[in-house]
Amino acid sequence: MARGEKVLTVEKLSIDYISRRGPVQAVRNVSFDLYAGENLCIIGESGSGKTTMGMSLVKLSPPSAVIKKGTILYTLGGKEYDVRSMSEAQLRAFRWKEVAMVFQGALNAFNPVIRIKKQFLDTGWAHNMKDNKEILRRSEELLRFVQLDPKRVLNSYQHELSGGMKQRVLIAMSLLLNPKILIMDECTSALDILTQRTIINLLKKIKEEMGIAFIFVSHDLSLAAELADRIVTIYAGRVVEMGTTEDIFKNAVHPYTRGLIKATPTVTGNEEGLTSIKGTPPDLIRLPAGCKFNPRCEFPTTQCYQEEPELVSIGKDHYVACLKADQSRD
Amino acid sequence: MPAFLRRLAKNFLLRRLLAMFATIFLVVTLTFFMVRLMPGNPIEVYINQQMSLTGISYQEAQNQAASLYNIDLTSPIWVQWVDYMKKMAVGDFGYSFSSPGTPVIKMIVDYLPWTIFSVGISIFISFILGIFMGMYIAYKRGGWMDHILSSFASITSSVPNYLVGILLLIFFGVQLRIIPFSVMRGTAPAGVEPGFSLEYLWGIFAHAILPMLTYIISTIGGWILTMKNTTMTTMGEDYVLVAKARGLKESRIIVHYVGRNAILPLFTTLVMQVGLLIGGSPLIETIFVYKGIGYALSNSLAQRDYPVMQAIFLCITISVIFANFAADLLYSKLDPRIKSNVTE
Ligand SMILES: Nc1ncnc2c1ncn2[C@@H]1O[C@H](COP(=O)(O)OP(=O)(O)OP(=O)(O)O)[C@@H](O)[C@H]1O
Ligand code: SF4
Ligand SMILES: [Mg+2]
Repeated sequence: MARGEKVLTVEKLSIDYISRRGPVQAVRNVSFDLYAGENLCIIGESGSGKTTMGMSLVKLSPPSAVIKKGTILYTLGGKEYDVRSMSEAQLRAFRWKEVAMVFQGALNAFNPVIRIKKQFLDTGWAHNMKDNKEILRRSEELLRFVQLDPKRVLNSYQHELSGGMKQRVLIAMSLLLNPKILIMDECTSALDILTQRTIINLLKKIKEEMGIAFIFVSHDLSLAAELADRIVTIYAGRVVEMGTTEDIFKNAVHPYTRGLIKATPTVTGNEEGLTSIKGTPPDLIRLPAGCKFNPRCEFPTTQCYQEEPELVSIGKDHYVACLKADQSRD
Repeated sequence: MPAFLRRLAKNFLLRRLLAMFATIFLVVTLTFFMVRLMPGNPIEVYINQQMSLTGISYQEAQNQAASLYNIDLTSPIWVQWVDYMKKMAVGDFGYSFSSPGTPVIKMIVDYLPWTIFSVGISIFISFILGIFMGMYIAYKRGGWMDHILSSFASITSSVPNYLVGILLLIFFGVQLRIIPFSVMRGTAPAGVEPGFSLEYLWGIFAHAILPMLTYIISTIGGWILTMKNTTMTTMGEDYVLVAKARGLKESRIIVHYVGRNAILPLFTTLVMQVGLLIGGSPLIETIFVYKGIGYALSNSLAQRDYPVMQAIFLCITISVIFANFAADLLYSKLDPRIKSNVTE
């Protein structure tokens, strides 16, 4: 696939949470790029720091999160936005207009005492859309696009909508201002299989028809298989492998990525062959020395306990952080 | 059942109204039987008192009592009850005991407005100031304002209101002599024609200032603390985060996303307070010799003026029941989640 221009550069991003027991190293030295019109999936187990990273991309991290270092740089419409140095006012205008983020907690994403219609209007007004008719026309169009009845939804309160409906309303709302990038955090996790299906198809449609760049955050590799152009796997706050979808599913190198693939039914195709990765994710306050995956790795070497591997290129667009990257290739 | 009857039966408002009147009916009936059937009930006590004091016959004393309580003591009890209920329905509460010849209803009409005026304004001011302060310190958590207001609120909300009243009295009236307390007794300035003149309005306001200050000081802490609490909880809601992600203006988020949701749980308490307002505060009004319904109540208690007591208790009961009803209605107007449960 022809690659668009680079729209987002994340470089050496590290984020800690201040906690009583000490700093929680939720994101460590993460670097990746995003290109116009592509779908980048970020995959990792629960607690691996995906949400923490996603929120920092629009500078909405909770107060206890501290960005230790790194850059988050957008290049959109010929303009550069260095998120970390933007003022609140600049950020306010930037959010949703340039980069919209659909959160993990979408089921509770709407103000319970205001009608959905008003919340669409609110969104438009905040970004200088003055014409109510125009905002509503666009809202209705988008709601139809996500296969909802616009009149009914607009006149509803959030408690009158089902989980899947709310998720779709939020997706529709995220498209209201034609953002160039859409970040979606676990936007299908809390939903049943059929509704998940609807949303996945919807996202495919958005990608094809609107040319928006996606960052799709999930713990579910089978979703990535369907949606992604490129996949990033993160473990304990760190990128351990990054490559095209084909690279990842055909030539995964990192033991963690391979473990994830083996644990995903729709990818391996047969249920019997499924094996989950043994062990549990590490404590992000007291990380093990050397490679953070060593307690769960099948064939660690002594070096693995001393040295943390760097993310290195092992092919065009294929990067991996494993000391045995060379031997472990198929 | 005919369709319109079924609709009526399903009508929330109607059901609530019926329930409300049934409660009031029950309360009035209960008061009637309590006063009439209790051993050593006030009427018997009165009759005996009159007999021993003035040496009149039982018959005469009974007649006096009957006219005082506005009931016929010779007919069967259920007839008396029907009679009593009829009189209650038109606001005929009989005559006061301690000031013979004064209808109870007139006393209520004289005293009640002052309580509604002073307590009403206090509740309003206290609520408005309280929620703004509570919200402010929720946003400026850990700042000096937070420390000051939170400590003030915890202290004042744990001190009983009559103590606040006495302290104010000592502080302003006795120690500082700022407020000429002897002139401030009562509810209205002496020698000023009642009406909408500035002088009169200022006068009644000045007379109410100490009771009002007492009410405000003793209730505002509760509002501050509750509002701070609900605001902080609401600030952590997903929809507030999403509103920020949508790029909404800070002011819009504060008012429509945090404020509206944080204030909701406070409304029930507010309306209930308005309901209790009728009871006034006997202690506060007595401390400041403010002639509201609470003052009348404590006087009637001291003088065993049963007809007055009975009428005031009835007023309190009715207003509490009404407030309950109003709270339900208001809440279902303010919170769409309740409305849809109720009108389905
Ligand atoms: N506000 C916070 N304060 C302290 N620690 C936090 C906070 N939020 C998250 N963490 C910790 O940071 C780590 C990363 O959390 P994060 O929510 O980013 O994970 P995630 O990959 O999104 O997980 P999931 O798949 O469950 O959503 C976890 O160990 C979590 O316990
Ligand atoms: S570096 Fe060593 S421990 Fe880490 S994943 Fe590679 S082989 Fe396993
Ligand atoms: Mg998450």
